[in-house]
Amino acid sequence: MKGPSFITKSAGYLFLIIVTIVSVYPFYWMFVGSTLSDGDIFQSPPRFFPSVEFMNNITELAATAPIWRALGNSLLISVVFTIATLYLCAIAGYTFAKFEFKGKNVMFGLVLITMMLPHQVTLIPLFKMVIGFGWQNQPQAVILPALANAFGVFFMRQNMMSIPTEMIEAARIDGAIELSIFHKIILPTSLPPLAALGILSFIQQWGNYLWPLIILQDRESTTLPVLLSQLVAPGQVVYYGQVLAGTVISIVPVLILFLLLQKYFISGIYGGSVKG
Amino acid sequence: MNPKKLTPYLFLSPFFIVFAVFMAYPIIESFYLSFTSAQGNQAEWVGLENFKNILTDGLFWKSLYNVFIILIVQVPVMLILGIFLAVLLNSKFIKGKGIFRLFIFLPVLIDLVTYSIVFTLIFNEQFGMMNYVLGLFHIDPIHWFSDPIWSKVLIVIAVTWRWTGYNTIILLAGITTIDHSLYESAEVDGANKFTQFFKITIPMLKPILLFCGILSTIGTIQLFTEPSLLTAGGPNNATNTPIMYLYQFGFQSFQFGYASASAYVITIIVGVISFFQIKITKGGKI
Amino acid sequence: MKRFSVLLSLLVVLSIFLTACSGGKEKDGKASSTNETAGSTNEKATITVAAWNAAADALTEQIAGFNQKYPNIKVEILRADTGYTKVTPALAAGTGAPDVIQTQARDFQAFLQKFPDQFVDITDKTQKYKNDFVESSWKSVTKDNKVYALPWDLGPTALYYRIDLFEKAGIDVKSIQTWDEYIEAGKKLKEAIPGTAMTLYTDDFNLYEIFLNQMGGSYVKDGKINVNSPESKKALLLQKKMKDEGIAINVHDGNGRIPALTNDKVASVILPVWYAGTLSHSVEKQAGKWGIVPIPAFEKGGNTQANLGGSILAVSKQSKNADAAFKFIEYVLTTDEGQKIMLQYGLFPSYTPFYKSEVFNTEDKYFGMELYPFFAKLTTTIKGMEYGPIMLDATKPLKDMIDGVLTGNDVDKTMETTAESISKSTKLDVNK
Repeated sequence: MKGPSFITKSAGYLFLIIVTIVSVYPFYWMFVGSTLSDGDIFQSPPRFFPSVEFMNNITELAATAPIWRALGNSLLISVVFTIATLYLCAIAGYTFAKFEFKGKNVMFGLVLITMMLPHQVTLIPLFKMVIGFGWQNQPQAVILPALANAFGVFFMRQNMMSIPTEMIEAARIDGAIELSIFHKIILPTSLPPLAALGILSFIQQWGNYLWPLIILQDRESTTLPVLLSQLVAPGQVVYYGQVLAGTVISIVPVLILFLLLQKYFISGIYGGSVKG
Repeated sequence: MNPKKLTPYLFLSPFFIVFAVFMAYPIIESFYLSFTSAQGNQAEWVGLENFKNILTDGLFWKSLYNVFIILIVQVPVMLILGIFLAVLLNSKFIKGKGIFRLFIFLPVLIDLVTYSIVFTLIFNEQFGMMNYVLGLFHIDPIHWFSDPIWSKVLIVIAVTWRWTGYNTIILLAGITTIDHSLYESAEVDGANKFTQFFKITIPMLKPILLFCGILSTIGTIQLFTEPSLLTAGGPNNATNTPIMYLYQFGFQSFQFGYASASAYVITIIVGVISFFQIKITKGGKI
Repeated sequence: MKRFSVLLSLLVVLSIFLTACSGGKEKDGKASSTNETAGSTNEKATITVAAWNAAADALTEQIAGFNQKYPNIKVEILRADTGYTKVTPALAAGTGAPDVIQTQARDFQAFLQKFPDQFVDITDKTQKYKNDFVESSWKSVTKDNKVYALPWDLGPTALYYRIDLFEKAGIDVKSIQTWDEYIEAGKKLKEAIPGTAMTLYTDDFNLYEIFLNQMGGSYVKDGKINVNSPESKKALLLQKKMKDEGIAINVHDGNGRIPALTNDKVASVILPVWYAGTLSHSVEKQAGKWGIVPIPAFEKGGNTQANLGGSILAVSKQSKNADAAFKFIEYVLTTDEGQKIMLQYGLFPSYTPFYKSEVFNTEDKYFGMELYPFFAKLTTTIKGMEYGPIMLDATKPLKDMIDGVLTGNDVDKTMETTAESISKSTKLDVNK
C-alpha cells in the first residue's frame, strides 16, 4: 500500500493549519484579553502576548460574583444531565434503529417534530409546571426537562443504524436477554457516537442560558453562563478583563472533557474484531 | 402480549415518560395559547387570527426569505467543509490529530461577548481588520453591516465559523464506526482513495449526513444568535430571522399567543422541508 | 469504558465539592427561604428584589444599612437581565414573582398595561415625596392618577468630547451651539484627522430618543401614537444627516463603542450621565482628555437638555410582604444613605434633596470637574416624555424606522408604516 504523496500531505496540513488559525483566533484574543487590564484590551492592533493580570481579574471577579459556586452548579447540572441523557438516548435510539414495532413511525415522528419546534414557546407553560413542583432554584428543574432530548435520540438512531443486525441476531441465538445485548454489545460498539453525543450534550447544557436564567432565580443556584452574562448589560460599566477571565474559566471543563473523550474517535472499534 | 414484543416499548419508556411530562405537555399548552390573544397575563380565544396576522405580515415573509438565502449557501458549504475535515482528521498520515480536532471543534464553545467583540473588530466597516487587508489589495471597503447582501454574507461566515467544527465531530464519529474491512477489501480490489471516498465513505455516512443536513436546516431556519448579536437583524431587516421575529413578540412585547402561533408556523415549515429531506434520501438508509 | 466512568464520577464529586464549599458562608437559611415566605406568620419577612447588573450590586450593598433600620426584614437580591426574561414568566404565570421589580422607566407603562393587577398601588405612601423627585420622572410611574412605582435614576444627557482631538482639529467647543454647527465641526475634524469621526451611534433608537426628548416630542400624545410627529421627523433627519455627512459611525452596540474610543476613532459621544463611569473605567488612559458640555440645541438658544434611560422600582401584587417591600424601596430611594450608595454605582438620582449632599458635590478626578452637580443642572428643563403603554411593542418598529431612514427610505412613508405597525400590536390609534 502506497501512502499519499508529499503534495497531498502538505496540502492537508496547510488546510488544517489555516482552519486552526481561523478557529482559534477569537479564543486567543479572549485569552490574551483576560490577562490584560481593561484599558489595554481594545487596543489596535491587538496585543499578541498575554500579560499578567489574569489572577487579578479572576480575584476581582470572584469578589463580586460567586463564580466558583456557579462553576460547581454548572458542573453538577451538566454532568448529571450528560450521563442520564446518554443512557436514555442510547436505549431509545437503539430501539428506533433496530426494532420493528407498532407505532414506531408515529413515535419517531413525534420526537422529530419536537426538534423542529422553537423551544422558546414552551418556556412559560414549563415554568408554571416546574414552579408547581416546587423546583425553583433546584438543579433538577434544569436537568429533567432537558432529558426530553430529541436531538440525542435522533443522533443515536442514525449512528446505530450502521450496527450490523447479524451481530444482534447472533447474540439472540446465544440466548442473551435483550437488556444485556444492549449493555454488553450495543453500548461498547457505540463508544464513538456516545463520546460524541457526550461532548455535544455536555456543551449544550453547559451553554444553556434561557431556561436556567428563568428557573434558577437566586444567585446561589445560578449557572456560570447566566452569571457571566449578567456582567454585561447596556448602560453600565463593563469590566471586560473580568468577563473574559470568567469566560476562560468556563471553557476549561469542556476542553478537559473533550481531550479525555476524543480518544474514542478512533477507527475500527468493532470493524476489526466483528466482521459483519 | 408476547414479552418479545414488549421489549421495544419498555426500552422507550424511560425516554417517553420524561418526554411526555416536560415536552408534550408544555407543547400542548403553548399550542392552545396560539389560538388566544395571550398578552402579558391576559388571554382571550381568538381562533385563527394570530395565524392570519402572521401569514399576512411582510416582515415574517422577509425573515423567512432571509434564512432561506442563508440556508441555501451556508449548509452545503459547511457540510462539504465538514466532510473534508472529518476525512482528513481520520486519515492515517495526519499527525497530531487530537490537537487539530480540538482546535477545529473550539468555535462552538464561543461565548457571546467574545463572539460579538471579535467579529465586530474584524468586520467593522471603518476600522476593521478585514477591510484593512482588502485595502492592501486595492479592494474597496465592504459594507459588512450596511449592505443587505454583504450582511447576509457576514452571517454565513459567522455561522460557518461557529458550526463547522461541530458537524465535523459528528461526521467524524460516524466515519469511525464504518466497518474497516470494507476499505480493506476495496484496497484489495485496487480502488484508489477517491473511489473509496465516494463508494464507501459517503454511502456509509448517509444516515449521519442526513442527520447533519436536517440539523443544520433546523438550525439555520431557527437562526437567532448571529443576527441578533452581529447585525441586530439589519440593515433594514435584511438579516432578520423568523426566531428573531418570534422572540420580539414573545420576549419583548410579551404577546405570548402571537409568539406561539409563529412558532407553529415555523415548525410546519421546518417539518415540511425535513420531510422532503428524509424522503429524498430514503431516511438515510444505507 | 471504565476510565470514562471514573472521569464522570470525579466530575460529580468535584462539582458537589465546589457547590458545597463556596456555598458555606452564605447558606444561612437561604435555601429554605421559599418555605419561609410561604408560611410566614410572624412579623419577620423576607423579600426578594429583582434588578440587573450594577443596579443589583448597588441594592446588595444597601442591605446592611437597611437592616440596621429594619432588622426583621430579610432582603435577597435576584439578578435579572435587562430584557425582563427572568421576571416575565412569573408575572404571566401569576406565581413565583419577586416582591420588588426593576424596569426601565420608559417600559413601565407597558408593564402596567400588559400585566394589570400585578403591581401595588403606592399612591398614598408616595404623596409626601411628590416634590422630592425630578418632576418629569413621575410621568412614567403614574397611571390614572395612581402611583405604582418610585422613580430611581435619571439619564441627563451631555456631549462628551475629546479636548485634545478638538484642539488638534482647531475646533472651539464653545462655538458649537447648534446641531448644524456640530456637523460642520465634524466635517472639519474629519479633514484634519483622517480616520476619526465626530461621533458614533448604535443599533438602537437611543440617539433618536435624545433628539426627540430634547425637542419636547413624545412617542404617544393624548393616548395616540405620535411617532409620525414633526419632531420625530426632525430627529430622524438629524441622525441621517450625521450619518450621510460621515461624521457619525455605527458601532452596533455598547461593546463596539470601547474599541472606537480606545483607538481615537471618535472625538465625541452624545450619551447620558451613566457613560461617565464607562469612560473613566474603560478608557482610563484618556483621563484629563475628556470634557463635558451640554448638547447642542436645534436652534440657537434652544433647549440643550434631554433624558435617556433611567429606571423605576415597583412592588409586585404577588408579594406577601408588600409593606416590607415598600419600606425597602423607600429606604434606598428617599434617603441620603441609600442614594449615596446608588451614586457610587453611577446611578444618578431623580431624588433631588440628595443633590445638596456632600458626596454629590465632590470633584471627579477623571474629568477634573464636579461631575454630578454639572449633570444636576442638566435636569432642570428636561421635558417630561409620554411613552404611553407602547414601548415594549415599539422597540422593534422604532429600530426599523431608524434603520430604514438611515438606509435612504422616504422619511414620511417610513414614519407612517412605523406608526401603523405599532398601532397594529397595541390597538392604539395613530395621531393624524
